[in-house]
Amino acid sequence: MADILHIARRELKIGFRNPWAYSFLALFCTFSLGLLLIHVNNAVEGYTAVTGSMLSLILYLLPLMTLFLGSFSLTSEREDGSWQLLSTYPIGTLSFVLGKYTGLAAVLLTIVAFGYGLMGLLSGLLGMAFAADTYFLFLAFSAGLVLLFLTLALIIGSLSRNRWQALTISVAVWFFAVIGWPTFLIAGLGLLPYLWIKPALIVLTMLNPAELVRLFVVVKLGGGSVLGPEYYQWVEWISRPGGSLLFLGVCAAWVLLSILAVYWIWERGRSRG
Amino acid sequence: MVAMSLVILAACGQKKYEPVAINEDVDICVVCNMQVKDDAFATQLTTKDGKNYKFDDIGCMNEWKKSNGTEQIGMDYVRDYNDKSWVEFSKASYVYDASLRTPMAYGVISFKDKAAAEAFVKEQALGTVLTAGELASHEWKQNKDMMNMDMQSGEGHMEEHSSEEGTHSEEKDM
Amino acid sequence: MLIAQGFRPSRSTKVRAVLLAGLFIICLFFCSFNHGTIVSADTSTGVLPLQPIIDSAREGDLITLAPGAYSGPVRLDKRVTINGNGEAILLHTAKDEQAAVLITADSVRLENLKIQQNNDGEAAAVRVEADRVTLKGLVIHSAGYGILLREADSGVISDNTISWFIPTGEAPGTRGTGIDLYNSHGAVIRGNDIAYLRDGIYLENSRNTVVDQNKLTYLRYGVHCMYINGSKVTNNTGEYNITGAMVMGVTGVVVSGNSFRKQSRNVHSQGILLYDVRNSAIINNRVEGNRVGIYMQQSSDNKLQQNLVLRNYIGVQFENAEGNRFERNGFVANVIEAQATGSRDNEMNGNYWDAFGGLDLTGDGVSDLKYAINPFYQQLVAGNAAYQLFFQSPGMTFLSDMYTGGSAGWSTDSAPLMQLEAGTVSPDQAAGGQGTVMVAGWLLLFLSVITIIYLGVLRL
Repeated sequence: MADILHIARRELKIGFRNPWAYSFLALFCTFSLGLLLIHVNNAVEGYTAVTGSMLSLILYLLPLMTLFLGSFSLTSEREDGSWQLLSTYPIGTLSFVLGKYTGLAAVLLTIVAFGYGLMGLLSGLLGMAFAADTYFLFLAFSAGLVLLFLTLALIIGSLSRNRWQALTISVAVWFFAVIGWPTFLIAGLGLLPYLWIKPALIVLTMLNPAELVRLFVVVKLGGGSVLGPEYYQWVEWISRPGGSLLFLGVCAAWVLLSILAVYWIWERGRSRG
Repeated sequence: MVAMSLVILAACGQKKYEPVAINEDVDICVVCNMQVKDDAFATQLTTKDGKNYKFDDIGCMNEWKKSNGTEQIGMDYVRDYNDKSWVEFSKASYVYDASLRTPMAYGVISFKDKAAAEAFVKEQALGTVLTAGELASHEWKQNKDMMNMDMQSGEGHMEEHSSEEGTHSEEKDM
Repeated sequence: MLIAQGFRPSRSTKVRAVLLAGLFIICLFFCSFNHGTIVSADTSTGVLPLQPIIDSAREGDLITLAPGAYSGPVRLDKRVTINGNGEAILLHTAKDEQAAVLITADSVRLENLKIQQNNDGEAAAVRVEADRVTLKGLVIHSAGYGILLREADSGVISDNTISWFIPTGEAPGTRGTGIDLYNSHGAVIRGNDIAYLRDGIYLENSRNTVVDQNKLTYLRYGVHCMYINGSKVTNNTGEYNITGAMVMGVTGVVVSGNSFRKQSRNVHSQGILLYDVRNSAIINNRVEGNRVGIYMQQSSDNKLQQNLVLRNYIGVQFENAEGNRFERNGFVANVIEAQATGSRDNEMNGNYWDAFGGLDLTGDGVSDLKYAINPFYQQLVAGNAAYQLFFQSPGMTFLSDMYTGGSAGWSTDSAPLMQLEAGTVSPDQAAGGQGTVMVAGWLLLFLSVITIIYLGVLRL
């Protein structure tokens, strides 16, 4: 436990001395404030064009930011030789991975908190109508997105030999999960018989953190009916308070499995190296 | 060739198109958008690739068949007027009368056998018994206008005419 | 006051008064000025049957009911006026399919009476089978239907409150319709407040009906009309229904000045649905916060003008709608503004689309770029409804933008407005919780800045 904290603390320090973190912070703030100003006359409440475009913006920006910062942090351990140094200490690989995850998560969540803090403050000063539940939902949505994509980032970082490889894979994963997702799915699922499409779609959606979190927020914003008759039972389920728990469970499972995968990769590397 | 047709036959033999229960929360008529009530007027069909369509009136199902054809239909079901059990469209008997109220006012109701249909006609003292085959040549007129001839009825008929023409032209487009 | 009404010189009605006090029943005949009947029941005597009172009245009588409870069912087969002054209640608790009040005589007036009807299914509180009947100021609680009109022309149904209820100690029954007209022409339905029933106002085969200023909430369909040529649906408000106004199979109808909001819970919710509607005018309506604002299918030659489409998931949706004029409507803050498939030859002109980045080089307030409605998503989900999961996914927007096949045939606004016409949108009310958001914002900002300074800047 002390090891985890130690590594997390180290990660936090490195993270906040990383200029990349601040450039993303600036980017996130600029875009979210810009969006807020465009819609200064519209209430931010429920599922509307305002919340819809905020949702899209966050889906573009946060996963990319998380993938970059997360994967670079791991590759730099290798590139700087600090992992080789750490390996000589009696620190377990799991402690290392968990410490990395916790530290990076804290850095990213601080960036998100800063952005939302600014957003909340500004909307208050401008006298905008920003419903509290919508605000907190978006905060939770962004945090969820960061935590889920961070596990992906760690996997990418573990598999990449250097920073450039990590960058390439990160962009590819981001494009696949956020931009290309419907295109690939529609093309792929079109080959299946009609009755298989819906189950396949549901399983695949569970595997894509961007879609998973987006749909959760759309449903919680009250927009679940727009997903149509095929999913109304799911929507009803998620709309209830128990649905949030279920969603948290799925996310936790996601994070745990991915961290185990990262652990396995590093453990293998350690035993070989 | 023979082998192929055998395969197709086998495939067809395996496939069963069971009627799907009506869910009033989400089921709407594919044609007219009205909620499908879980009542004796509900009908449904399943296409060969497994898509299920529900209708609130036999007339709406007929509209769907007119615009989409019947080749792709795996099975179509109507309901018995008395006990709401699902009956295959081709095996059911039908009663038509303009004064029968159905959700889209087509005035056609379905029965599981001819005896039940005849009993209904006898009891109500109105209506004509039709088979599924005879329904094909049925004119499917919606009762938009009751028989009482007030001063509006002439105008009403004209409007009805033009709206029917509109429907036909659209069908050609689709 | 009661008597005064009976004494009104313009009426040649007889007013007779029956007074029940305590355990004694005293009948007093006010024969002054040679007319008058006031019926009065004291609550302490329990429930008084209403039918004998009606039976003893004569054609043209005004019967004023004193406060108290009366029992039904009753049958009105002569031209009388019954006024409950808002304090008389008619109870129909017996288990039968009869209506609490059945009206079979023309020109009957039923006013300011409370009616409680405990039977569900087809049973109604008031059933009218006669012409020129007035139902006004009734407060109806029904476990089944509210008001039924059958072959009853020129009725006036105004200022009634109708809601569904579950009689104590019983399982909830089947909700009926609030006001249900069949083959009843020329009715005026105005200022009614209807809630928790199946359909609010259902009109079938009833031409030239006026549906005005009704309030419709928590219903399946607020106004549901089929085959009602020449009718007007105006100035109604609807909230939390599955669909606000369901207009089907009509010609020459006016739907104007209505406000339908927050119809978004059901997967098929809409503000206004138009199916098989021809030569009609849909003008000046406000649809806000619905799943779909206005859904138009198989409809042609209509005018849709100056409607305000606000904050819906999908603003308008056209399917096989042709030859309609769609002009000067305002679209603000809808998640998707418009979807259209199979809809050619519509004249779209001068609408305001807030998500559209228009370009006005000539400075006439009209964009020189056209606004085209991309049908990709609607086509996709029409093929397989499962793909609705992709609604407004960032990747879906990307894919739609790439799809430009056959864009010449898309529904296109040839002259979109740059600005919403002034005065059409009232500014959004504060959503509340602004303070909370601001405080939370302060707190988050403070925490993150401290963290950053402590860990990043100070380099401890």
